[in-house]
This record gives sequence, C-alpha cells and structure tokens, in this order.
Amino acid sequence: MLRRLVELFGPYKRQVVLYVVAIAFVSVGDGVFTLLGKAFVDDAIGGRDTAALTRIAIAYGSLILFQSVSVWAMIRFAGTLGESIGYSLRRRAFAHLQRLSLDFYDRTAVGRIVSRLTSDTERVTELMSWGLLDVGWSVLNIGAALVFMLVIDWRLGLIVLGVVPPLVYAAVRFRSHIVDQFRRVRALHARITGTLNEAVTGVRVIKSLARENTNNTEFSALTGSLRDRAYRAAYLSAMFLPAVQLITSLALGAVVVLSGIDTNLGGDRISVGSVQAFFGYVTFMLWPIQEMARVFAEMQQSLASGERIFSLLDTPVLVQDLPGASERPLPHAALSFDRVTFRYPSTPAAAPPVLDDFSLRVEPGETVALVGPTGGGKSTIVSLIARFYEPTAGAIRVGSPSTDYRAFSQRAWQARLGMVLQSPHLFSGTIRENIRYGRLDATDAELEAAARLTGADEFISALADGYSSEVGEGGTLLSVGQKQLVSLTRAVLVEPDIFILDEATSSIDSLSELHVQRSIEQLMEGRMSFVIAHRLSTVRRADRILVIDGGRVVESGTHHELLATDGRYRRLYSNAAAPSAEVTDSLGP
Amino acid sequence: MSDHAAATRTTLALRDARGVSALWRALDDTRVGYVVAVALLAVALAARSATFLLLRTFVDEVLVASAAGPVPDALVRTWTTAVAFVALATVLALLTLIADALAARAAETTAQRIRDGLHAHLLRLPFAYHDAASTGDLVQRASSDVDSVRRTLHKHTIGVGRVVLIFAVNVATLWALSPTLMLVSLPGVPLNVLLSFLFHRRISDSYEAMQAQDARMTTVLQENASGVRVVKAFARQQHEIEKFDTENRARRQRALHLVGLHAGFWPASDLIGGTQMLVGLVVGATMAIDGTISVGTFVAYSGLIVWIIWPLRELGRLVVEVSKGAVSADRIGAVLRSDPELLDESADEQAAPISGEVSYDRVTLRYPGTAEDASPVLDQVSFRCRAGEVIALLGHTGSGKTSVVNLLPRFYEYQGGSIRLDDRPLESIPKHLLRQQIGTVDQEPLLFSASVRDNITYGVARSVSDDEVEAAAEAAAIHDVIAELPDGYQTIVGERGVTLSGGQRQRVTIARTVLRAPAILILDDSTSSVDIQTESRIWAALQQLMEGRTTFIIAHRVQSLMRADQILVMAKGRVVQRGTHAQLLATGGLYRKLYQLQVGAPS
Repeated sequence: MLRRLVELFGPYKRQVVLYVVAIAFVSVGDGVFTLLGKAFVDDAIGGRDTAALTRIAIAYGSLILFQSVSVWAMIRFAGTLGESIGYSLRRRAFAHLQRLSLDFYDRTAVGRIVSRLTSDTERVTELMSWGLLDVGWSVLNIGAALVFMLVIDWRLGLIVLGVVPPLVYAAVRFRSHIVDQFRRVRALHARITGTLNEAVTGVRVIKSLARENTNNTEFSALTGSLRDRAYRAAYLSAMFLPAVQLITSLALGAVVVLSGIDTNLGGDRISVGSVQAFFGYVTFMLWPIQEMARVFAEMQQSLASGERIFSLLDTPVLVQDLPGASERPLPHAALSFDRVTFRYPSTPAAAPPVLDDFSLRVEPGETVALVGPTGGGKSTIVSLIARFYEPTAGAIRVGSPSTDYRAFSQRAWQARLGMVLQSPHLFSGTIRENIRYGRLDATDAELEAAARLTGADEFISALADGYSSEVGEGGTLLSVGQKQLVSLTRAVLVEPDIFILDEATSSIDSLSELHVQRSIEQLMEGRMSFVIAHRLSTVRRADRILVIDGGRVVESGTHHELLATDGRYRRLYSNAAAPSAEVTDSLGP
Repeated sequence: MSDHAAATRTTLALRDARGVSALWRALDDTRVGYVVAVALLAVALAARSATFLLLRTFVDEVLVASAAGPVPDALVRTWTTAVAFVALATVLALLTLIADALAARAAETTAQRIRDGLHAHLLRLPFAYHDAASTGDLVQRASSDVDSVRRTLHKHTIGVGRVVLIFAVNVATLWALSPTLMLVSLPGVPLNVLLSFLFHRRISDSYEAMQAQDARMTTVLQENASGVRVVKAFARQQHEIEKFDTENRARRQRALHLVGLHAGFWPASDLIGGTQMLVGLVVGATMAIDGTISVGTFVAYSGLIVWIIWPLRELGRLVVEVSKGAVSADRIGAVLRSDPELLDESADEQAAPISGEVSYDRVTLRYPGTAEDASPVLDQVSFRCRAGEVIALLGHTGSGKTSVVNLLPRFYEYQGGSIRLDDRPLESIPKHLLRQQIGTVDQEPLLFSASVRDNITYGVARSVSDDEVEAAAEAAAIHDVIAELPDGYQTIVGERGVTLSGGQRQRVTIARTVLRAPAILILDDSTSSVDIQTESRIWAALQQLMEGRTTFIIAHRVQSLMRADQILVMAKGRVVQRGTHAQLLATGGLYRKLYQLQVGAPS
C-alpha cells in the first residue's frame, strides 16, 4: 500500500527532491530566527556592541529573504505535486472505469464510484502534498529546535527532549479520538441531509397524508442528537490546544526554575538570551505538534481512501477483447445463440442460471419481440447481444460460416448496435449533443432528419432554443417521454445493423406513441430488431414473438399464431386488453 | 428536544433581517453565552500578556541583577515566577476552553433551531412553490448553508473578536512597556492586513471557481457511471475519456491557480511581517544598548511583538468567511420569506365523515407565475358525481387531468368557479382534515428510507396493530413479497435499504392507502410503469379499495377506465367529451380512436 503510494511520486522525482529541500530550509530557518533573537540579547545588548547589532540585523534580514523564497518554493512544489498526482490518478481511474464491465456497475452504487475519483483521490493527494509538507516541516522544525536547545544548554535541552515525545504521542492519540468524533458527526449530518432530501422530494406525499407535524418531530430528534454530538466533538477539539499549551508551560516553568537556581548558585550561568531562546522554542513548538497530530490522526482515513482507489484500479475487466480481435465491421448476417448458459457474475455459482442452454437463431431483417414476466430473462438476452456480458457457457455466433462474436473487438461490435433503453439516459448538454452521441460525425441535417423520423422534431422545435436547448443534468429538464424520444433518435442516427428496443416507448403517452410506433416500424424495416415491450400493441407486428419465462422460450410464433393457441401469450393479451374480471364487476355496468 | 418557540424566533430573525444582523438576531437567547465567551477571551489574552511582564521582572530583577551582585531573595522569586507562570498558563487554557465551548454551544443550538424551523417551513410551502423550486437547491440551503452559518457563528465571528482583542490587548501592554516601541511596531501591520484582505477575497473567488469546475467534472463522472449502458451500447468510451480529461485538466488548472495565489501571498506576507519584526528588534536593541529600556523589557517585547504582527493576517480570511456566512443566512432567509400555505390547523372543527359527493362548477385554474394572457390550465371545468361513483379522466399529457384532481385536496388555489364536497364549499373544510380523507396513488410511488411497516403506516395518525398492517398488505397483494424480505415487515427499504421493484413499491403505497381508509380515492396513472402481470395484480388490489369510495382514475390505457360511471375526455384544459364507455364509443372522436388503437379492435 505505502509502496504504491510512493510509486505515485515516480514521474516527479526532481520536484520531490526540491520539495523536500524547500521544507528543510523552511523548518531550519525558523529555528535560526530564534537563535538570532538570542544573539540580539546576548551579543548586541549584553555586549553593548552596535557593530554586532548591525551584523545580526543583516543576518536577520537575509534570513527573511531566504525564508520567503523557501516558503514560495515549498508551497509551489507541494501544490503542483498534489495536483499532478490527483490529475493522473483520476485519469487512470476513469480510463479503467470505461473498461470495466457491467457486473461492476451492477454491484457498485454510482455515488461510490464518484467518491473514489473525488473525495478519495482528494484525500490521498492532500496527504501526499500538504500532509507530507506539514509532517516534514513539523518533524524538522522540532528536531532543529531540540538540537539548538541542546547546544545552548544541554540540561534544559534534555528537559524539553524528555517532554516532547510523550507529548507528541498523547497529542496524536487525542487528535485521533477527536477525528473519530467528527466522523460520527459527519455521518449524522449525512443522515440529516438524506432526510431533508426525502422531505423535499416527498413533500407532496407528506402533505397529502397531512403528516407534517410527525415529520417535524422526527426531524427534530435527529437534529437534536446532531447538536449534542457536534457539541461534544467541538468541546474535545477545543480542549486540544489549551491542553498542549498547559503541558509546555510546565516545561517553561522548569526553564525558569533552573535558570534562577543557576544564577543564584553563581555557577555556569545561563544567559538571558538563552532563556529567551528557550521560551521562543518551546512556545512555538505548539504549532508543529498540533500539525503533526492532525496529519497523523487523519492519515488513517487517507490510507483507507488510497486502499479504495487501488482496489478500483485492480478490479479485473471481465469482458475483454481477445488478442487479435477483428476491427472490421460485423457482417450483415444471421445471429444465433448457440446453447448459451448465463449466470450474472455477481451471483453465487450454485444459483440457477438466468439462461440455461438457450438457443435461438435470428435472420437478418427479422423483428423479434420478447415478452414475458419481469425477471424471466428478456433483458438478459438483449444485454448479451449488446455484449454487456458474455455467455457463461455456449456462444453467440454471427454469419455463416458462423464466428463467435468474441472474435470482434467490442468497439467494432457495439458500433453497429442501436439501443434504446427503458430509462433513457441523457448527458447534460444540448439536445443536439445528445442525439449526436449516436454518431459523432453526423451533420445537423442528418440529425434533424432522424428527429423528424422519430417524431422528436415536433417537441424539439416547440422549445425556445430548439435543438440547442439544454437538457439539464441527467436530462431533468425534459419529461420521461421526451427523453425516450431523444434517445430513440440517438439510436436511429447510428443507422444500426441491429436495433434493440428495451421498453423504449413505455413513457410516451398513448397518442404520441401511435406516431412513434409507425416510425419505429419503418426503422425496423430490413434491420434485425429485438423489441421488449409491456404494451402488447407494440409487439403485435413482430415477425416472431417469443414468450420468455424462466430463461427459456416457452412459446414462439406470430401474433395470430400465438392467439390461436391457448397459451401464455393469449392469457397475457387478454389480461392487457381488459381489466381483470373482478375489476370489471366492481365497476358496475 | 428542540425548543419550538425558539426555533420559530430564529427563523423569523432570518426571514426579516439581512446579512450580519440576521446572524446576530438568529443567535436569540444564546447571545448571552456568546458575549460571555468574548469577555472570557479578553481575560485569557490579558493573562498571556501578563506572562511577558512576569518574564521581564524575572529577567531584570533576578537574572540581570544577580550579575551585578547577589540578590537576596532570588530563589524565592524564581519559584514564585515559575508558579505564577504556570498559574497564568492555566487561566489562559481554561478560559480559552470555556469561551470556545460557549461559542460552540451557541452555534450548535442556533443551527439546530434553523434546521428545525426550515424543515417545518419547507413542509408548509405550497405545491406551487415546490413545483418551481429545484430539490437540490432547497436541500443545499437546508444543509450546507445552515452548516456555513453554524461554522461562521462557531469559529469566524468570534474569531474576528479574538484577533481584534489579541491586537488590542498586546498593543496596550506594549504601550505600558514603551510607547516608542509600540509606535515602531505598527507601520507594517495595516499593510499586512490590507494584503490579507485582497488575497482572501481573490482566494475565495478562485476557490469557488475550482469548486464549480470540480462540480462539472463530477457531473461528467456521474453521468458516465449512471449511463454506462449507453456509453457501452454506442462504444463511446474514448469520447468519454476525452470529455472527462478536458474537465479534469481544467480542474487542475484552477487548482494550480489557487496554489499560485497561496505561493504569492504567504512569502509576501512573511516578508512584510519579518521586516516589521526586524525593525522593531533593531530599534528595541538600540534602546536597550542606550539603556532607555531594560534587558527584561526587550525580552518581553520580542515575545509580544509576535502577537501584534502575525494574528492580524487572519483577519482577511475571517472577514471573508463571515461575509460568506451572511450570504448563506440570506439564502436561507429567501426560502423563509416565501409564504407558507395555511393549513387551517386552528379550526377546531372535527373531521365530519365525508361521504364523497363532488361537484365542480366552471372551475378555472391558472398556476401562479404564468402570464395573465396565457391559456388557463383548467378552463370552465364542470362535472358532478354521487358518493361512491367512479370518474375517469382521459387525455393527452398536459391536457389538465392531474390538475383536476389536484384541486380536490386543495394542493392549488383555483381562480374561478367553485368546488363543493358533500354540498359544502371545499374551502370550508380545514386542509389537514380534508387531506386525511383523500387517498392518492401516484404514478411514481415514493417510499421513505424506513421499514416496510413504517412505510405502510406512514401518515396514519393512530397506532396500528401488526394484524391491521398485514391485513392491509394482504389487501394490496404485497404481503407475500414482504414476508420473503430478509427482515419481513421490519426490512428497511428506500434509498438506504432494499430496493423494491416499481410494482412492489406501488403496492406498498396501496397498502398505505388501504390502512388510511379515505373517503375519496385518486388513482393518478397508478399502473403506467409496471408490466402487464403486475398491472393486473395491482388492479385487483385497487378494486377492493375502490369499493364504496368516490374514485378518480387517470390513465393512458383505455382498458383501465372503460367501466367508469363517467368518463371525461380532456383537451387543453377543457372537458371535450363525457359519458360512459358505450356512449363515447357510439359518438366517435378521440375516445373511440384511442380504444381502437389500444385494444386492436377493427374500426
């Protein structure tokens, strides 16, 4: 883990060296300031020596300039290093995410993925730039101060040396405890934000159930415990600095006593400047101790973040191009499932497969409709065709002589698919950009022609900015039906060989659907198409309707053939065409 | 737990006042603690300055004096100094802690009051407000803006006080030591403060720009992850990598700009402060050589000057933070300034049982904020129905179907005509009583992050037995599904728990409605997002629920509403056709067209 973190510095070796040098200069320089302060008292004032005063002043002035340059370099290098590492970590992680197959996305929430590349990356780079800076500066600063103190007066130096390590240890422990408290506060805060989010999204429900008062009481209980917990954390945190301060003041008390005793005994006297220097060193030590404690206390979290990022980078890619995969476009030929068995990678091996020894052959230009209950395997079949997953056993073949579709690169394969999904996903940007996603080099004219074909043109032209209208984050500015029209247009623009419609029109209202239906039929003309739909009006005209249940084809035929046999399809159809008998009765004549 | 009256006072303060004055008034009764905290800080800081005076006496009267000859009570004075020193440090530590704790208490208490008050206000804002507002924005105001106010109260406002006090106390001490030294120590200070202001204003803008860029980058990432199927289906990985890289690069650029500002400010400020230190030390040393001041005074001075020069460069940051807190307070205030709807809770009228006879007489509705000359959402809609009847509404998206039913629970105020319920004007029934009598099953079933049981009993005011809950679940045909869940009825669902399918969620909300046993039922496109089998299961559940209740059905599918007592076909806010299925089929028009399309019957 630590080794991998250090490896991140790899490309920036020169900067790292300069950065460490700058930190060393700054920390030692701070100690020299205090030494010069001693010189002011002992050499200039004590010796009543104006020439010495000039020399010391010049030294002090030069040190100020030198320190300014060092501080500049230190900030510059720490910042650049951190940003470069953060940038390349995010880049690597994002590129890896593009290669990961769908099973990863099935078991990982989007929020998790986002925080790997945002807050986790942030924490790691923070540790490796500013965190390292703070620790380096603190250690060197305390070290330099201790050396100077030992040189000035070894007995006093030893006293301080005795106090520092346990103090640092205690400070780190205490700080970790505080960090832990704040983590709990944040967790509670996140819960409250979640509740607020629910309150706002669910406000219509809450209002229609007239439940406002109960919600207020429940919310108040949450904010009450947040207040108490936050106060406790704040209190502990407020204790930290005074506590360290108090301990160091004991060391200062000891300095006073020792110097007083020495003076009194008339022995090896401590100079006034030395006493002053000790005061300076010990008082200032508060800051490096505090910084060090903070970084060490937060390090645990940063390392955990690093662990999570590396585990993302290490996630194996399940669907990969085979060596020598063909880049040439896939042939316009029959597609067949050859004894395909499929089990989702995340399910245990003992679980029954979703598809079991499933075979199917679809001719070019044929339209196949898949109907059946949710979970029966319809979506799995189209996901396999799209190569979101690959068969666990068996193969999907194309053309004759048939070749396994794995012989093609994913890019070549997927570039010829046109897919419209039930939840139409749009990207923020304009409607035009979203449609163009289907074919990046499409001209505006081609794009608008596609929109006219699907009927999306009608609502788009009615918008104030037409095709340049922003769709909002995730397309929120459009209705679900409109989003489906845009995503349909996007697929049409591909001019795909294989057309897949997975519940593509479920949210388009019945009247608009009539129009969409006609254009879809036109589009499917001459293309191999797969249609999944709950509305049976959509599937009636398919060349072949497959009723899928339990991972197998239970019925197959045209609409009329299937209606003629008394089977699943007919039952489904009559269910859909009229409310169930009970409902019919209760509604009365 | 929370003091309701105080929460109300705090929200009123944020509503009525602006800027820093809003922050101050929001503190309400915790102000006392706040003022005491500042006073204690002043004492603590005086104690710290006193240690330097103590050091001066020790240096002059023990260390320096003994060089000239033995000092009689040197040992005693040494010990006294050491003890006094530790005592002062103790006072400093304790008072700082207490002051900080008092400020924290004031800030946390006020933050809780704002959260509670704002939450209550959000729930009272009318539907029209929520329609226009964005969820993310409201949540951000109620969470991060409140947090920003809390931080400002806890750290920044009192921080300004502390910095000013540190400066004042130490300047005063220095004046007592030597007015000349005090004067030579000040020229660099305003320069540093000015620099700090300029820098922090710029850094705050630059930081915001970076945050904004960070948000853009996150959006690309988030949309990529949630749209992974689309990315893969169109083989757009490379395109996405480039898109992300653009934002990632821009983010690095912004961050480096921020680094550049830091790298400019800190050395410059060090240079100014250091030079000021040097000037002070040289003048002090010269005076000490001359004998104008004692060695002890010089030692004390070199300790004090640090506290005059450095803390003030914090001022820029603190003032910028306080102004951000004030902006947050204003953003919260803006929400609070919107008028809540009146729930008529004061009306002591008992919930008279409603039988469910409804009449709309030439009702016209225009949503607030739409232009006067725009065509109304509802235009002279009239109909009447007897208790227990089924009214179906059919029409295009945007034809006004949902608006018709939204008026019944008084979610919106209509502008013309009248609505009567059980032959009483709708407005004579208090909103909260009215809403308890109306059950709605929406297109998008919404469950809360809570147990299934809590979701079913959500909004039922009385306590409910397990048997009742199960009976309701049975009636909604969801009991078997719930029994299969890992913790049965105690299973947590929603965002933080088990994910139920759309149809299952819908049946949970139906169970909720069963339990509430409302007099009037509104089924707004309840089954449009589920598959056929689920749909028939849901209809079977709804059928029991509709028994004896006035029911409004909105649906796209003719099959769902062909048996209603009355079908209203709507277009552009008007009822264009009405009648039973048979009548409408005989008449022709939109209804018949739709029927033929969907059922597939030959024309």
